[in-house]
Amino acid sequence: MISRSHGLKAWLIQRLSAVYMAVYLAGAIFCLSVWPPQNYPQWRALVAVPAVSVATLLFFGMLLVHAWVGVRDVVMDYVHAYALRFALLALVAGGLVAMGIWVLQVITGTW
Amino acid sequence: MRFSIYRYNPETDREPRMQSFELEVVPGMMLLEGLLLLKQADETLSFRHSCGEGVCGSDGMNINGRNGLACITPLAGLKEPVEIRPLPGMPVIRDLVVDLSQFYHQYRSVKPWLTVHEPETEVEYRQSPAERDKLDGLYECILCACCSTACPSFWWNPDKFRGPAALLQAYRFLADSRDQATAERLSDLEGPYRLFRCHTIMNCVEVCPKGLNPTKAIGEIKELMLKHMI
Repeated sequence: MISRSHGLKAWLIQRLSAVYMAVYLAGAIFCLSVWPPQNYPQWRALVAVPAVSVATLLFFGMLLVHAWVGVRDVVMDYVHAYALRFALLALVAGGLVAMGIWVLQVITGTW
Repeated sequence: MRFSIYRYNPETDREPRMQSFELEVVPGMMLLEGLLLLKQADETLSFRHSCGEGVCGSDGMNINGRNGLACITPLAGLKEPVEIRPLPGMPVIRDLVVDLSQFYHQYRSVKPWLTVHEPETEVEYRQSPAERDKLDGLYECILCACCSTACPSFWWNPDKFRGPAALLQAYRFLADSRDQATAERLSDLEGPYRLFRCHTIMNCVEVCPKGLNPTKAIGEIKELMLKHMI
């Protein structure tokens, strides 16, 4: 379930996703404070801009991957019974995938 | 001065207890000297000690909640009652004496010796002063186990995570210009447990009686691994 090669890769993914999220959040805070959308149609128009929707989708993708590595680390530290560990990781993975689908639906407007 | 000391003999006691002691201390006295005086009063009190000057690393213990060496911990400045416990997370053999087999096993696993693949030369292995400087802050470790037994990641996975002391030594040989086993050493440390259980909690740095920085060494190993991957 957790292969031996997933040490460096997981660590690297966590750091790269953190860097992307920091850059995205700084950009988002700057843009929203300079050009704050005033109403719902303006928010929709903002998200409809391809660059914004792709960057935002990527942000949530990174957030979910980052969360997966973090929670996996906590579970690996504290839960040593393999059946319970598998169940917990499956639950977390299911929850994160569901959230990913939800984000996709909201941002692409298929909700 | 008042002391509260962990007492446990697994062969006779059902569970550990804390025993109170009182001692007349003189200025400049170290904790080890105090313990030796207490042992004169109660010979059953057990703890390891040897050099008495912070070199051998035998008398690592938990002093008022913080790991340290009794021989270089001044009694003045310790909050009373001074609570002395064995190094955390290790099986107790008796009182303050713990079984460090797991700790030594992890140390042995990083192959803490120089490995050379090329045929041995007939002259000495040369090292420039700059190359030698890279070993400073690494070779001074006395294996007292204060760092590893203060590390929560080592408490939870002492059988899989190498621990700060062993990883500091792993980097000591990775950083050595004379060692030729870099790839094997890095490959051995790959995986989610051996190296990557370190979550940069830095208790190891906080308690190291020699002022070493295992967290930095672990970071260097990760960087080296990344360079090798790319």
